[in-house]
Amino acid sequence: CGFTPAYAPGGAGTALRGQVRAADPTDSLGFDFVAALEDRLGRPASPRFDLAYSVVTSERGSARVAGVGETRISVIGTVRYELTERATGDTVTSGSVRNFTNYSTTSTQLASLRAREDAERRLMRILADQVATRLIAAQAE
Amino acid sequence: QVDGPEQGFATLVADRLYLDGPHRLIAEGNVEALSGQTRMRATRIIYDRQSGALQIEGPLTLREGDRVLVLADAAEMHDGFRRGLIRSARVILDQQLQIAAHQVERVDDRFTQMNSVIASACEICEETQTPLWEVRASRVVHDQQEQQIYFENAQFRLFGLPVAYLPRLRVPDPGLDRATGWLSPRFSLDTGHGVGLRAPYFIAISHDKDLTLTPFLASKGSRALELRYRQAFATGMLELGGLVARDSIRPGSTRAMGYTRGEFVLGRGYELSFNLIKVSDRQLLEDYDRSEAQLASDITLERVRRDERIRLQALQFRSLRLVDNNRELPNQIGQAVYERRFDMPGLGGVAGLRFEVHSHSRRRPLAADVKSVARFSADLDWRRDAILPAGVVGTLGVNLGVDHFAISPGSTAFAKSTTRVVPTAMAELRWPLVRATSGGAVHVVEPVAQVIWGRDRVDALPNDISSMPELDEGNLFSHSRFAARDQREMGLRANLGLSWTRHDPQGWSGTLTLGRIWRKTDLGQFSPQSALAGRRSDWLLVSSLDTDQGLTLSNRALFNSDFRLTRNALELDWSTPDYSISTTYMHIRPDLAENRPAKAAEWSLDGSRALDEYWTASVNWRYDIARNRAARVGAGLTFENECLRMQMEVERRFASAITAGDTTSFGLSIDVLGVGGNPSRARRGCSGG
Amino acid sequence: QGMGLSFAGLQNVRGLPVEIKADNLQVNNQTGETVFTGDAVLGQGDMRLAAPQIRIIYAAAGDGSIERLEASGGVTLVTADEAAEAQSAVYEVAAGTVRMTGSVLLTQGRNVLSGDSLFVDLRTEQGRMEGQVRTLIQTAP
Repeated sequence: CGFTPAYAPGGAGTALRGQVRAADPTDSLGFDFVAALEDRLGRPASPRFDLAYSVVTSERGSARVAGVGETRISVIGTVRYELTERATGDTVTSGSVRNFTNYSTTSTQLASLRAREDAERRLMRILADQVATRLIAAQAE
Repeated sequence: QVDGPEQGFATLVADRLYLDGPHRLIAEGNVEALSGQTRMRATRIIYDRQSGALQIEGPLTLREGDRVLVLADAAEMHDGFRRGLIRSARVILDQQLQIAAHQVERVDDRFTQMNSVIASACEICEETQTPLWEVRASRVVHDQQEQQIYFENAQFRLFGLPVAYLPRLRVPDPGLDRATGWLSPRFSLDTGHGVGLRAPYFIAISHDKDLTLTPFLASKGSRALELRYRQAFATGMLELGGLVARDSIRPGSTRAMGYTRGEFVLGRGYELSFNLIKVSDRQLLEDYDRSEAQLASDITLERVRRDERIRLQALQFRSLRLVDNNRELPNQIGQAVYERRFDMPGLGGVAGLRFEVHSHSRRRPLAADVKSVARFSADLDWRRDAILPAGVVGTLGVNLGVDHFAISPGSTAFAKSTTRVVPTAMAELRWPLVRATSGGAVHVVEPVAQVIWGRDRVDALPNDISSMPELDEGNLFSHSRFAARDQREMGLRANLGLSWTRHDPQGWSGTLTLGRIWRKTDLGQFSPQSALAGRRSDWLLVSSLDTDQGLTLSNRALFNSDFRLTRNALELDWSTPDYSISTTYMHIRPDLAENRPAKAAEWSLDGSRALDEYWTASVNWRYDIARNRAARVGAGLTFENECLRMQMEVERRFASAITAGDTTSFGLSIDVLGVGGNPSRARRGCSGG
Repeated sequence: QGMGLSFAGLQNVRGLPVEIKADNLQVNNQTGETVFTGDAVLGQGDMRLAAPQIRIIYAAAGDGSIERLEASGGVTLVTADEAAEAQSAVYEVAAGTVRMTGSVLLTQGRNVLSGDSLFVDLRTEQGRMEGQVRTLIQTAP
C-alpha cells in the first residue's frame, strides 16, 4: 500500500539517525526537548545536520472554582524549528509545531507545582516526537 | 542623510545664482542649503555677504536629522540656521507630533520657541478637520537637548472641545522613551471599589533605575498607593514593589502587600532567580486585580548545559484559598537536583544519572498527614536502540531507582525511615512507515509496543506530591507517570500505541494517536477515577489538525471501554489578519484523591475582530457546562489610530457557590499617542493629500 | 571680502597688449580670423587663458584690435584674483563681457562656485551663474 519503513536501508529515518544535532539548550524546557529528540533521532555522533529551534510556552486556566481559582491549566507550547545542512548551510526544512498538555491545581501547591513541571516535560516530549516525525516526513519528500 | 559642512558654512545648490548689488547673492529655483545636520529647501534664498544672514522665501522645508521637520512660508536665518525666525510653520517631531505655530524662533542649537501654537499627533489632512486631541498654547519651548516640550497657557482639547486648562504643561518629546512624568491614567468601575482612577507617575532616577508610584482613588472610599522600584545591573535585574491600601472592602484596616523579584547571571553559567511575596490578607490581590490566587516565594539557583541540569531551590507557599488552612499544608520545601546524560562507555546507548534531595514540612499537620518528609533519590537509567530487520527500531532499557525516606514523626502508617529500591527493565519495538504521495503530502504511521517489567511490591509511603498523575502521549511510554520520585510505577505492564501523521507543508497537516496500558495486576497505585487505574487504562485518543490558513485544532480524549469520557480537552485557535478566535472545551470527572469533589466541564471562547482600520471588537465568555450556566461574559472595544488609543472592557462574573451576587467590572484606558513613551505606529498619512 | 561674481582680475588688465603662443596658426584672409590650435595660451598682463583652440576675431575697422575671442575644448582662465574652468568661453573684449559654458568652476580665494553657465559683465560687475549651481557660503560673520 505504498508505505516503506523509515529505517529501511536508504529510508528517511536512516538518513537522519544519529545525524541531527539540536542546538545547545539554554533553559530547562530546552534540556527536556533535546533529551526527547535524541531519544527519537539518536545521539549525534558526526552529525550532517544542525537543528535550530525556539520553544515558547504559555498557560491558559479554566474550570474556575469559587474561592479556589482555576483548577485545570493548559500548558500550550509552540516549537519553531529549522534543519540546516552543516556542510553547505542550506535549509533542508523548517516549520513549527504546536500542542498542549494539562495539569490540575486542586491538590496542594507543592503537588500543583510538580504537576506543572511534569506537564511541561510531557509537552516537550510530545513536541519533540512531532518535530522528529516532521523531519522524517520532509526527508521522505 | 548627507551631512553639510561644519558650523559657520553652508552648501548652497540652486538653478540660478546671481549677484544683486555688491553684497546680496540671490539663489533661485529648487534652492537647497546644507549645514551640519540641517537641510533647507526653498524657492528663493537671499544671502547677505556682510552679515551672513539668509532671507528664505517659501514654501520651505527645514529638516534636522530625521527627528525634526519644519514646513513654513518664510524664514530668516543667522549663524547657519542656528538662530532664526520662521513664519507660519508646521513643526513635525519624530514624524509623530505636529506643532502648527504662527512664528517659530530658533534661539540656538538647543531651544526652539514657538508662539500661538496648536500641537497634536493626529494626522490633520484638511485644515478644517479638527484633530481628535490637540493642545493649544500661547507659547511653546522645545528643548532639543533634554527632549522636552514646555507649553504655557496650554488648553487640552478632546474632539475639539476644551477639556483642561494648564498654565504650564511639560510633555516628553516623542523620541524620548524614558522620562519622568505622568503616564496615561486608567479608569475602572467595579462593584468592590466603584469608579476608580489609577494615575501612575514614572520617575526615571537614572539610566538603570526607575520608580513608579501609582495612586489609586475610588468612589467607594478606596485609597491605595502602588509602588514599583526597578534596577538593572550588568548581570541581572532587581524589582521591589508593594501596595498599601485602605478601602471599604475591609474598612478600618490598613491592607498591604510587598514583593521582590530578581534574576542574576552568576559565573560559569549559573543563574540565580528569586521571587518573594508577603500579603496582609487573602483577598487583597484579588481586590486589586493582581491575579495570583496562590502565593509562591522561591529562591532558585539553576544551570542548564547540553547534557547537564543542576537546580537548587527553596520554596515557601501560602495558599489564599478560603478552603485551605496553611498550617496543615506542606508549604516549606527544599530541593536539590543534579541530572546528567552521557553516552554509555562500552555498552553503547545513552545513560542518565539523576540525584535528588527533597524535603517538605507542615507546621501543624492533620492527624493523617506527616509533619516532615526528607527524601534522597538516585536514578540510573540506560537505554540502547538498534535497527532490526525491516526497519523496526528495537530499544532495550534499564532503570534503577533508589529512594531513602526519613519521615518524622514516625507513625503507624509510615516507618521513620524507609529505603526503596525499584529496578525496572524495558523493551520497545517501533516500526515507523512512510508514504510520500504525489501531491506533496507525506504520511507517517508508527505502531509502538513497549513492555516494562517492575516488581509488584508497593511500599507504604506518604503521597504528598504525585497525587495528580496524568496520561497523555507525553508519558504513555515513560518508566513512571508520577510527577515526583516519592512514588514509582510498579508491576509488569505493556504500553501500546499507534500514531498516524499527515504532513503537507502547502496544505494541512494532522496527527491521530491511539494508546492504552495493559497491566498484569492492578496494584491500586492510582485512584479508581484516574485514567491510569485498573488492569487496563482508559483509551487515549489524540487528534490534531493545523492548516496553513492559521487554523490549529487539537483534542485529547480519555475514555473507558464503554466510551464514557473521563477527561477531555479541546483547543481550537484560528487567527487570520482581521479576526482571531480561540475556543476551548474541557471535561474532567470528579476525583477525591485529587481533591476534586465535583465534575468540571467548561466551554470558553475568546474572539476579536477588526471592524475597520481603527476599531477592534472582542468578546469572551466562559460557560460552565457542569452547572449549566454562564460563568463569565466579557466584551471589549478598542480604538487606535496614530494619535489616540482607547480601550473599553466590560466583564460580568456570575454568582457561584461562595461569592454572593454577580459582579460586573468595567475598565477604560485612554492613551494619548505620539508623545514620549507612547509611540504611535499606525501612521496613515492623508489619502490623496 | 565675501563671494562675488565679478571678474576683477580680468577688468584690471583691459587694454594691455595681448600675446598668444600656440603650436600652429591658421589665418583666414577674407574674414581676418586667426585660429590658434595645440596648447594655445593667450596672455594679457597677469591674465592667462589656455585652451586647445582659440579663435581671434579682429575688429572690422582693421586697426588690429581684437573684437572677440573664442576658446573651446576645455578652457582654463587664471587672473590675479580668480581662476575659472569651463568647456568653452567667449570673451567679447570690446563689449567687456565673458560667457563661459559647460561645467563651469569659478574659485575666488576660499569661495568656490560651480554651475552649467556663467555670464559676467565686466563694466557693471554683474555676474550670473545658471544651471545646477552649487556654492559654499559663509554664514557666520
